[in-house]
Amino acid sequence: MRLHAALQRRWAAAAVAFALIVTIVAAVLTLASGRHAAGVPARWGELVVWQALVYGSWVPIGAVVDRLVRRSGLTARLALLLYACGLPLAAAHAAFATGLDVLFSPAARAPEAAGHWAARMPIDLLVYLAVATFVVAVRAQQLAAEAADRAAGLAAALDAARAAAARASPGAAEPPAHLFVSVGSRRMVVDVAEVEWFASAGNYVVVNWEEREGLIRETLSALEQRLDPAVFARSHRSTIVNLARVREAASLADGSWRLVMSGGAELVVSRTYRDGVLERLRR
Amino acid sequence: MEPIITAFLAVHIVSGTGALFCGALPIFAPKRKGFHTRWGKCFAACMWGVLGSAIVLTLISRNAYFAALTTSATLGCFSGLRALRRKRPDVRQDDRATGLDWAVTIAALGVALLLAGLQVQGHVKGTPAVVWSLLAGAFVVGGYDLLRFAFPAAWPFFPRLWFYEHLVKILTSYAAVLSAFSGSIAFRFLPDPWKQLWAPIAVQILILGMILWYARQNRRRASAAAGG
Repeated sequence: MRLHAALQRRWAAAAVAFALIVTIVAAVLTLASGRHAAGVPARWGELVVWQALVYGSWVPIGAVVDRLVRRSGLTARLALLLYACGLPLAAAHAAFATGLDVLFSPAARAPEAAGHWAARMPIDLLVYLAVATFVVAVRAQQLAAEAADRAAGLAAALDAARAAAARASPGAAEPPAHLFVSVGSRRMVVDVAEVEWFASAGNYVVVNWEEREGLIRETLSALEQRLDPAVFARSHRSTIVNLARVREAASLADGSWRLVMSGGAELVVSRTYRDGVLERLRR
Repeated sequence: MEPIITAFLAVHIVSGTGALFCGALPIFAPKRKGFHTRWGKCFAACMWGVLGSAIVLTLISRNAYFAALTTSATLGCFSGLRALRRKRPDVRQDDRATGLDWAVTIAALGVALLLAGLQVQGHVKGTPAVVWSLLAGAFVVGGYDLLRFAFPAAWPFFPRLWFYEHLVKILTSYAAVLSAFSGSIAFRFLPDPWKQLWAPIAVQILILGMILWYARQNRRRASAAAGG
């Protein structure tokens, strides 16, 4: 979980860097066009430093907002706090950016700074709101992903406990060789060995075999208890795969894996079930 | 050529006015099938009227500034609507990006690159700050979308991401319509750039509040389901 959080932080930092670079490049090119039109040489290095200072200064502001969000949690108090901070922060940043404009631009004059500051205010308000929204969205995503991981871990532990209890019970039934599957208005007998994967659909299970699909009125967890654990494995909260029908497996960027089944279908093995499935595929 | 321009301009104005009113209704409605989806579809139809006529007018007038505006708005609106078809790419192959998603996003980025080239050479009429802001927006949204298409289950994916993507992108499209209406019709008395930017600021305040509201609501639901 800690490694996962570190990876998430790295992705968030990469997203910030991408947005910042695009913004700085756009701002530099805007100023260069203005200088070109006025017949003044662009002086690219100076423009890059100037705009990096103007927009890069939002990074520490974002860090402060991030701290605030982590400390307060996603509450109504946080919303009020973020809204209340908006005007003074944007006003202060607009003053800082106006100072930089006067310092770097030969056209900007100190007496006109008040008008310049007023024109900058809506832009800085918009940037502040974008920064705050990004920070809140990243935190909300992190909390939701952690909750989903915890729920999947609990579901996996519960499934494992149920399977162990079923195996330990002396009257445990043999795994079925056939399933009675509804396909439209018909009922078909399907050989369990031919099934490629099962998917959960509420109180039903979707059975996929030979590029066809049908329904069984049973939950995925209940069906899993009846299946042969040597052949079938949970690959996701909502899927069980036939290990004998896996043709190919490849890792994905987020740590999950993709399975290609013999019929060509692609399924995802979530991080929760990844190690178990890969171990059993290696056997 | 004049009657054609007038006809498409009429479509543009009528659709834009329609989008302005239809778009406000689903924002505060409960996010489920019914009122929200019905008026949402009306807003989408009006937006396609606005953007379709804008594309034709841009091609006729060969105005690179309008092209930047149209590219950025089309990409945002298209991406916000398509997010509804890509809810669970981690479990369903059908929920991954299709050829249409790739084609529209790459085409929009291609147009944005072309316009950036024209702007660098000084061939674009219009305020450079606005043109570059629009192009930068298109690059950020398009770049993000291409990464999501290529790695649909990687960060920042989580099962409800589609909801937030839809919310942010569609509200941003609505902000563009409101901003155009404000800048050219309703709030012309305000100084620049307030008359164009008050609408995106107001919508961004709404986006921040809505993300906080729904994130809190989803956490409460999740903890209630877990029995906590």
